[in-house]
Amino acid sequence: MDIKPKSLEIFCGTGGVGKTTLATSRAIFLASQGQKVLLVTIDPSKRLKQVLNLHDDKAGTVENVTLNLEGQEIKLNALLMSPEKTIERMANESGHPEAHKNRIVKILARPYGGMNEILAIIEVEHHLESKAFNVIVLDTPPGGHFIDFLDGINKIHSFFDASFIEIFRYLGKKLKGKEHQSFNLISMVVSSGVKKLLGYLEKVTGQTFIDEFLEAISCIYSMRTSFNKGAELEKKIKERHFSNWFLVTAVDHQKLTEAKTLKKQAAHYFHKDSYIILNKCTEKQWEENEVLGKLGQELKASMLKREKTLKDSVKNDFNQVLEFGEILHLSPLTQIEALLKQWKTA
Amino acid sequence: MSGTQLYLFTGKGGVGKTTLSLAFAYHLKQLGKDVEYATITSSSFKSNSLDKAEKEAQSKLLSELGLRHLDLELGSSVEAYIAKKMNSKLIAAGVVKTPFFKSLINMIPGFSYLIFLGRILEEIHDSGDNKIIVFDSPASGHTLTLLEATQNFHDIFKSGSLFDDTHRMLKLLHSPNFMQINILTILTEMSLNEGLELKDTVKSLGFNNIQIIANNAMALIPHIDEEKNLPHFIQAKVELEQTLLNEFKTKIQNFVPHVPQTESVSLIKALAPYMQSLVNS
Repeated sequence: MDIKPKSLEIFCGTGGVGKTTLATSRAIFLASQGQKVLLVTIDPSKRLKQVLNLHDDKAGTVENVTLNLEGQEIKLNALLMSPEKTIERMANESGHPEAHKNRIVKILARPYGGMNEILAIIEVEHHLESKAFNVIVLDTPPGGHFIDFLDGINKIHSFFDASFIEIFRYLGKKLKGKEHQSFNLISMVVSSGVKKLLGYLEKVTGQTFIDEFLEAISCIYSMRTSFNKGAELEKKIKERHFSNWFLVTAVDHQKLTEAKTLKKQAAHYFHKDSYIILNKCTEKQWEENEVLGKLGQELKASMLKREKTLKDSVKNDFNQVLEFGEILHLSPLTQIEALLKQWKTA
Repeated sequence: MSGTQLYLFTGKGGVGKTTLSLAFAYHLKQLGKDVEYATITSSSFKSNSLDKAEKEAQSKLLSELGLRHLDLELGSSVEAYIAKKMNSKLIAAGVVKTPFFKSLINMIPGFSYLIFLGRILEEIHDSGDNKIIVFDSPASGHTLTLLEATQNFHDIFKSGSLFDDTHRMLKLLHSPNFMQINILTILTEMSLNEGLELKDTVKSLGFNNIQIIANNAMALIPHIDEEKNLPHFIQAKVELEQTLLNEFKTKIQNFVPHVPQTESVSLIKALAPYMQSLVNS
């Protein structure tokens, strides 16, 4: 079976135990086949950064990576996500370059400020739109957070929902002025729900915060075009000709239901080209007719049982199952080399 | 302050976080402690929480282990907090229904985490010095958001009653021994290094009580080194793990062997005795 590369290749799943390495190996594999590849990672390990020669101080900018694997020189591009850089670019695009300097926006765009996932969506859409790459390989956050990541799109929609049009229309006008200093908005907000809410908030935070809060919202609102552009990603990822989905799960962990749950939750995104990757399979690595002691038998039996249970349980839900064998090598580069071979025959 | 009252378990997905945090909670219970097991079921108003079948499986497992569950759900947690702040359940119900409020909270997941952490601390406060909460917290990146949230909102609010709350939370979380952060890894070079990196990041947030636990070690199965007829595949894995154990033994102190069990309750009970090194009293 040959897995045809698509514009966007999304890796999601239990993670940590191989998702990022698999995504990286897929990106390198496609690059070795002559594709122009961008690998986007949200929270990679230091070791992986070393393998790819990526640097934290360049987070948020696309870096060129050259690797020598098995005598072949492979070139690809990689991007470490930086929420701060993304929001800075959005502010510049929106014509309000000062918007990302807002105190509250700055705190929220800290590396773990919590807006990482929403901003990652926007960043990916930005690079898709630039058409500088044939394939973008996206390594999403582990486990259920991948659902939060997809939900990010809906969150953008609902945040800029028409029900806030009045408050935002006012804020929009305000922002067009040269300086959007502190302003007392409460009395001017028409929407009673929002007005009441701000009233409550004031009781527990004080007026200064309300002003700062509204200013932060107006800053975010000034970037709404960039936010909404990011939301266009939703339509694209559901299209079969546009994306490949890889749901990664490892067979040596107690995660029999997780893959199924993720699939259920993301069901309306997945299409026919959705693969489940069973990583660290051992089935093919046991030697036949080995003479085993009691413990050896016990271990083999329990590992095979776990593996079989997982395989059986995913067969009904996924029609395309990819098995990757467990690789017993210490060096990440050797692991990636071994994975490249498996992609060739996947 | 008595011993550690909040044990937080984190790590990248798929390292056995849920199993080990349950094993730890079960172990504490065996020691006669007043323990509660906390999980987050939904961290945004939109996110899909566990479905009914899974919830049933979870509560069945917890009742078989005899563990009490603190189920953190966003809507009710936020509502309870606002009701307390406003001194009115009616206002709280109204606020939570506002689309603006909902979408705002969804845009800022850090705030949800702040609320959850607040609820856990309140639970501890209300139950006295002997209460222990084992928190099966989100995977690593989100745990950092959770741990940073208190500081971030402390910085955001600057004054007022919400600021006072975050201030109190920070003080409690940073008081010596109050909280222990347990980072789970598996025995691969990548995972162990990620654990050490996460430890450094957590330290940089000002938390010092951190343990790394390497889970699922074949090389540590009792008497495995005396076993002559191991499958070659296992033998190779054991040797690889022994190299790693030597390399990392000065940096990582807690190791948990692989337990050849596929059924959840027996697995958790079999793992419980290995949790003793994490108890901080």
